[in-house]
Amino acid sequence: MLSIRFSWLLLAALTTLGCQASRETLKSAKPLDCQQRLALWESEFSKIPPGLASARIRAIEAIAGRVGEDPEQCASEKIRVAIQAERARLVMLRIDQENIPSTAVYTCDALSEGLKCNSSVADDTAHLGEFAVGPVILATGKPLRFEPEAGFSLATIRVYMAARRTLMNDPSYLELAAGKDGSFAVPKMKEESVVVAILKEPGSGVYDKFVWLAKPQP
Amino acid sequence: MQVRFLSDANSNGWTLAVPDDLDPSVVARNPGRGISLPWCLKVDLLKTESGRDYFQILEGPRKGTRASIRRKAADTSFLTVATLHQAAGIVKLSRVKQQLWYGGKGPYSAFSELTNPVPTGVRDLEIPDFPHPDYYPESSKYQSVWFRIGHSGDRYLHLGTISHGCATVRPWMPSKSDGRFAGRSDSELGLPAANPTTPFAKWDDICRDLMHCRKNDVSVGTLHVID
Repeated sequence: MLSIRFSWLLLAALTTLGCQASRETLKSAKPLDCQQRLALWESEFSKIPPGLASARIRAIEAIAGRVGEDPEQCASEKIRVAIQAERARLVMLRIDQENIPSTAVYTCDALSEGLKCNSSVADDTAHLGEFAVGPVILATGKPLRFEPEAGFSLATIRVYMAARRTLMNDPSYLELAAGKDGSFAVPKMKEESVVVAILKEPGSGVYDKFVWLAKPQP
Repeated sequence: MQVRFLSDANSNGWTLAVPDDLDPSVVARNPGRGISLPWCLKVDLLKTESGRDYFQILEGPRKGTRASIRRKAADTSFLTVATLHQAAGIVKLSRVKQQLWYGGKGPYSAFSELTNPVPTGVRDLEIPDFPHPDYYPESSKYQSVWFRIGHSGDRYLHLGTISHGCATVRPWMPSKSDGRFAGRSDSELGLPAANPTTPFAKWDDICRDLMHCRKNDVSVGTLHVID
C-alpha cells in the first residue's frame, strides 16, 4: 500500500516538474529569427485550402500567430498582403453576371479626414490609378449591386464616389444612395473617378474600405 | 526623457511597432493592426520590460502615440542612443526641365503630371508617414518611403514612372511601346521627356539621406518647385 502511495506521489511530482520544465522552455523560447519567420510563413501559407475568404483569413491569422511578432517585417508584409487579398473577396461588384473584385481594399481601426483608411500601410486611394492593373468599371448610370460573401453583412455599407483629380488636394466625395440589398448606381461622369464602399464590421469594429476605379463611358 | 532613434531594422526604412492599446499577439496575427515607423524617428524610451521597449513618439504624424517593439535580443534594441538627425534637406524640382536636385547633387530625371502638376513654390516635405505601394522593388529597397509635400492633400515626393500630380523621381524612362503603359497618356508619363539624357537618381541614396534630415518635428526639409 505504501509503495503504491509512494508511486502516486512520485508520478505527481514528476508530472509537476515536467509541466514546469515545459513552461520554462516556452517562456525562454527564443522568437524565430527573420529567415525562420519567413520560411514558416511560406511553408504554411501554401497549405491553406481554397475556400471562403473568411475561413482563409482565420487560417492565415493562425499561421501568423505562430510566426510571431515581426518588427523587421520579414514575413508580416506578406501576411498583411495575403489577408487583404482575401478581404477583397468579401465584397465584389456584380456587373452583367460577373463579380468584379475591388482594385484595392484598406482595413483600419478608424477613418480619418477624406475617408482615409490608414493602417500599418498608407491608404493610397489617390494613387491607385498610378499602379493599378486591375479591373476598371464604367460609369454608365446603370444599376449595380454589391455581392457579399456568404455570411458577410452589408448592413453598414456606405458608398461614395469622387473624381480622381480631386483626391490630390481636397477630396470631394459624393455619397451615393445604396439599397439594403447592396444595389446602387454610378452616375455618368466625365472624368476618371473612384467608387468607394465602406463597411464597419460588427464585433471587430474595424473598417473595410473597398475601392474600384471608374472611367467615363466612351 | 530618454531620447532614442529608430534604427533601420530590415534596411527598407520601416519597423513594425505595436500600439499601446493592442496586445502584441493581435498585431502578430494581423500585421495591418500595427504601426509602421520610419527609420530615424525620434522617440522617448519609457521603459524596457519583459523583452519589450515601450516608448512615446516625439515627431511625425503619430507624435504623442505610445507603442512598443519587441527587442531583438535581451541586450539588443531596435532603438539607438546615437543621434541620427542632420540639418534640413532641400530638394528642387524644375517642372519644365523635368529635373530634380537634392543637396549638391543632380540633376536627376523627375517630373509631375503635365495636366495636374505639383504647384510651384516652396513647401515642406514631411517625415515619412506610412509605407506606400511596393511597385519598384527592383529599383530601390526604400521605394515604399514617400515624403508628403506640404501638410495636407496627397502629393508626395516619391519614386515612380507614372505621376498623378506628385513630384515623381524616375527610376528609368517609360516607353509607350511597353505593354505596362498601354493606355497611359503622355501627361501621366511626362512624355515627351524634356531632357531625355538626364541621369536617373538612385532613390536609395536620396531617400536614406532625406530620412535623416529634420527641419522640425513634422518635416525633413523643403521642396522648391519651379517651372
